[in-house]
Amino acid sequence: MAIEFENLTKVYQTGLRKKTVTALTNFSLSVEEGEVFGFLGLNGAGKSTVIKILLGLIRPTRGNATIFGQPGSDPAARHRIGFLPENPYLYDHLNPNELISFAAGVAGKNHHQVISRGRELLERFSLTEVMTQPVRLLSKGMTQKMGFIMAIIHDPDVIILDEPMNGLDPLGRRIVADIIIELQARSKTVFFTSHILNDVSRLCRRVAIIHRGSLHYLGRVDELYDGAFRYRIRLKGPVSELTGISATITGNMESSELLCPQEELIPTIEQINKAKLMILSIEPEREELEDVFIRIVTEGQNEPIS
Amino acid sequence: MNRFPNIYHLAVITFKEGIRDRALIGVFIISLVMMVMNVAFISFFMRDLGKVSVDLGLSTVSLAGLVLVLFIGLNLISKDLDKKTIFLILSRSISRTQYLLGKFAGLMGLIIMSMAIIGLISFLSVLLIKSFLAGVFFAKSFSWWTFFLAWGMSVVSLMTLTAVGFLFCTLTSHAFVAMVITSMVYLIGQTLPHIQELVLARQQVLKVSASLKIIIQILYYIMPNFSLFDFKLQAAHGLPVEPGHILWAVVYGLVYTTVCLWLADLVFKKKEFV
Repeated sequence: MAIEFENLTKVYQTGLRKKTVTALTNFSLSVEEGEVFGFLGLNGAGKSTVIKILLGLIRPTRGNATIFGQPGSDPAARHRIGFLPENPYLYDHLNPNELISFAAGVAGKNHHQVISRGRELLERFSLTEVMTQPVRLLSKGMTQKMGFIMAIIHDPDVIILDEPMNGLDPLGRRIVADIIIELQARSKTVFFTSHILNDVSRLCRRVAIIHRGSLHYLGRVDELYDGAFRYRIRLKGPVSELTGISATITGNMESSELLCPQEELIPTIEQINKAKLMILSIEPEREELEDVFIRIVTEGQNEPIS
Repeated sequence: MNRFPNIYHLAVITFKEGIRDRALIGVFIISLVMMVMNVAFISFFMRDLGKVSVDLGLSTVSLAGLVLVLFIGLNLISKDLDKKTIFLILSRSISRTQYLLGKFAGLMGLIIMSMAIIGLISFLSVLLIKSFLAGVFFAKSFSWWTFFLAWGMSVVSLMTLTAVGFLFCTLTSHAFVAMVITSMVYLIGQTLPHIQELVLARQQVLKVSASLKIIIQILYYIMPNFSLFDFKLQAAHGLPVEPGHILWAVVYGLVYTTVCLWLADLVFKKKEFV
């Protein structure tokens, strides 16, 4: 396994009264080598805590986090890692060239070994013109791109990206997505969090959803859509006599729309027939990943996976 | 693991980050103004012109160094913690000990280079005064060796202060709090040896309580003795300096620095970067 979390629990003690806050509860997850893995969750769900534990920035109260079998707290294990933190803050007075040199140097790579790759990435992200400018003069998006370049410049085996699309324009997002696809083609492991679910569904084969510190979903993206089909039924006239159906109803005096889950289709049609209403159309619809995600984290349909 | 290259690369970026800080230019300008004033106003003094010029020149070096450590140096490490830049560093194959040592080495490079520039300005101002304005007022025993020794000891003093600052940075994570505490430690370290001397010499007259005496003694051994590195008096008056004093000051500075860095490392290793 490239990345493995085993029964991670993290309890913080905050304030003078040492109030306990549980950030993670028995979190277990494995990411295979060469996999692009999406890690989803609302703000404060525990995503960054999981990543920080993996990188040895914080210690788990219980459990283990390993990179290729070695604990992430061991600097030797981090040798194979590239990391982009959320909203990266780079050194104000250094320029992109110097940051690339530093990233390559501490990874044990010669500056000349990575200079061509660095140039290629800077060109790809249209940062060539600012490569000798201090980072403090770069825009938020440019800083994000620089952070991304620093994460991959040393050609690591595992790339951990915390909100890589944050602050990027559509072109920047496309380039990051393309690079992730290229990395996957070279059997690199990419573990990333994102709030842009379109990117997740496009890039990842498997995703995990964390909510309130617990794993709520783990599986393939296409499996996540199972049961995520619904039907849009258009009826003539207002709907007032339908009872006992679990469908969302909208409409006016002329027509109405019912949005019902896949398993409720037959009972709903029976009710419509009973009420002698005219069906104008029935269209199947697939829920967006966003809707599935919100359903999982807010409606509690999926209990924590132990 | 590539231990020394990591420390070197960290030292390089710390040095570059510090050297491009605009506040450093401010420190250089203020030092230059002080030295120009040293030359311009020396004739306003009636006597001891040599002593005044050397004293002012070396005091400017010490003061500039102090400002450099407190306002630029400590900020270089606190900003990493405050702005989370440390995530980009410690997520690589860099241990926390290497991080501290790299930062310290970079900062020492910055301090030595800055002190060399300010020391050179100070030397030129004193040389100008000695050669053209008030050469007769300099003590016959005045030696440039003692002048440069006093400069060198200022660097040792700043090294010790930086290590103390590092310890407080790791304990507090806030640049301002670390700066205030380090400044207080510096002031205490400058004055406590004199207070201790005074208390011991005149305990009958001052009627010092036994408990206060113990507290002063304990503080004397814990707090860094910054007055030990002060050779300005010897340089200004052309007084002889015992080699043992120099050696003791250097060894004391190195040991105190090592202990502070070791403690900072212990604290840093336990730190969680939430």
